[in-house]
Amino acid sequence: MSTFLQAMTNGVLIGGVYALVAVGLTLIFGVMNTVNFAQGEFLMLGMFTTLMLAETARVDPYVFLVLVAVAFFVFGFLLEKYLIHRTIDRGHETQILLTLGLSVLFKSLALVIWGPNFRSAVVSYRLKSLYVGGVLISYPRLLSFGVAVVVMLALWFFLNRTELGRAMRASAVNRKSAALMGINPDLMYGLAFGIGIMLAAVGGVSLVPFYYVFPDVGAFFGTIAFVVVVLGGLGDILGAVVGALLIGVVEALTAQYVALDLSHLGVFLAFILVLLFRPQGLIRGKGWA
Amino acid sequence: MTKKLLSLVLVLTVVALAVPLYASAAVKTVNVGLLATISGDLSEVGNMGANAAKLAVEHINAAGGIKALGGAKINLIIGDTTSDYSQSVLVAQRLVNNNKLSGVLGAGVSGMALAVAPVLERAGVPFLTAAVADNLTQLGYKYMFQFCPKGSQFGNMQAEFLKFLQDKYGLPAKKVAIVFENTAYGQSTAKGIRQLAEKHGFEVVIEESYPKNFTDAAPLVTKVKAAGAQVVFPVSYTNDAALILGTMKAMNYNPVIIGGGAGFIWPEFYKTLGKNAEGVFSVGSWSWDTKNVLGHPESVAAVKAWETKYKTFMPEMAGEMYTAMFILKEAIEQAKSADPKAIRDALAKIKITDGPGAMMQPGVVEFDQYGWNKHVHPTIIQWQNGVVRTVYPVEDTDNKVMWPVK
Repeated sequence: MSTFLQAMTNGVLIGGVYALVAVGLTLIFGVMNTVNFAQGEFLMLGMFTTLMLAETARVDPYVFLVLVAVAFFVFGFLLEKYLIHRTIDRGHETQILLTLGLSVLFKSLALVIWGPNFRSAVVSYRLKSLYVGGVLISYPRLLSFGVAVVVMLALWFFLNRTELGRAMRASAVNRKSAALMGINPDLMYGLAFGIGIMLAAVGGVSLVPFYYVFPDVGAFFGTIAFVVVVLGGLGDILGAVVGALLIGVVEALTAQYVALDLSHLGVFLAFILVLLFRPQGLIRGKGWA
Repeated sequence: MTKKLLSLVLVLTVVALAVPLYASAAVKTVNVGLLATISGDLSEVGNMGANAAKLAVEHINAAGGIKALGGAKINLIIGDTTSDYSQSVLVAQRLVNNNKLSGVLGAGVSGMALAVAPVLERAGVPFLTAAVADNLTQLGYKYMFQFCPKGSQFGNMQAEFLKFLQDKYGLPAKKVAIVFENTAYGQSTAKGIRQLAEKHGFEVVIEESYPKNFTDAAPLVTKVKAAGAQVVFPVSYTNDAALILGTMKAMNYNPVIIGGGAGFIWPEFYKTLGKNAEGVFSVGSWSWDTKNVLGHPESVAAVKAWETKYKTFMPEMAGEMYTAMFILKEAIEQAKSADPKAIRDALAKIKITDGPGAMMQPGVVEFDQYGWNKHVHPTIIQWQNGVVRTVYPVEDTDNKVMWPVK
């Protein structure tokens, strides 16, 4: 029993980070109808930025959470305004080529600047954990999950309780009608992309205390985000959150009961099954957006 | 025609005059090369070796250099192989091309030793390596000398030590677990341990691989714990070992750990694990407090000098490179020449039983026809109060095992 609880705990905790990246991806898709193939690379850049700052200042990576979040929001906003925006009306092929190109560019830049090696931040609590009722709860993972919960609640509040958030949801539901109601779609695109990128970067910050940082780290998280988003239904934020936790649990159960090095296999197997039997997504909630 | 003949005679005369001149002239310095992984992800081990070689040269030169060559000083030339095997070949090539070398030390990583050996063989430079790969000396190299234990001896020593713990301390260990990174190194080492453990009558209850540089050991440790393993043989580098051992402690699971050397016995291991490292055992090629080190004042001085300079005990690779420099020095003394061929021949029939050259256990260095130090065996160490202490084989030490392991 404790083995099962252990796997569930592991799955749910890492699911928080998956949720951050995936919600960012699904938000961008929902509002802009654009698939951001560089989502994982924004997480990677967020990780490296945090690591560099933490190493230079010799303080905890979390100190830079807000700074990195704001910086990546601005980065995303400007990137949308000056680059992504040009592809908005040009169909998916152009958008895919652009974001895929960005992903390759970011990865190569990281390789040139930071080299290919695995790095990790020096944090005193890297190996700290709580041992409750036969279940090991890793402290840095718990912290990252806490961050994910807080950020998700804030996002929910923004989308449901603020004028701007409601405007963004309106754009997601029907762009043309929203524009007719006086909502500036260009602003909404910028905001959505900025927030989407920010969420990936925040996920990156919360990974730094317990994960390795390397130029290719985004590939895994990016792929997981796609699986989650399809699972939860494209553009569905609540679906993405549920999907992320589900994927985390599937991964942890595979690691526990099948084999540690096959954990990703379980994830992709589940993904293929969903595509075969419920291509519209597991959850059809259209929650939040 | 006469002109040509004349010039030929002239050249021959000069050569005839110069050769004895060159041979009899006192050699002022003897060039010794060192190939070490100074940069890259293996830089920790490379720098330990390089620092030890420098220390040995310092000591030899301060004590009057090489006496057979009129007090010639050793000049150490370090080649950074980086941590990339393909690079190491180029570095070795450059080292032998640009310098007149009497010998080369180093390349403690097996893959690297395999890569650079042909270069040194072609150049005809004696090569003393601390690499452990079994097949190194079976490749027919005439200039390669492996003065340290072989990889296959490691697993044997681990199993033998487990038996010793059982007999001496009543360790009720029947069930052993092997955890290893899923790389070629991890898989082959794990296979070796499994066969030996079974041969010695232990039950391998679980054999679990994990992806190198993984970030969550909870599933792994849960499984090993559930399998009821009393002894764990981890085949891991420092980072993964730290994660696995840290998770075990957090889960109140305290099996006997017998590590496979390398990362398990470097000072960095304790820095990363802190208290969690206490009581951990590991097999190793060399350790600083065996009887044959403590029995020789010169060797003790070396170990102390290292401690003063680097603020840690002298680690395995450092001890090995220090020893290697003295083995080479002894060979140069006996060859009475800086000529690499003569030194190779001296190494082939050398027998060292005294001084830092004999720091490898059991205190005798003598190479077999394949260039392997035929007397050598590994040791088992235990982390006690932040320091590795030799605890096995008993003929090498009076140290006691810290027992029970908490």
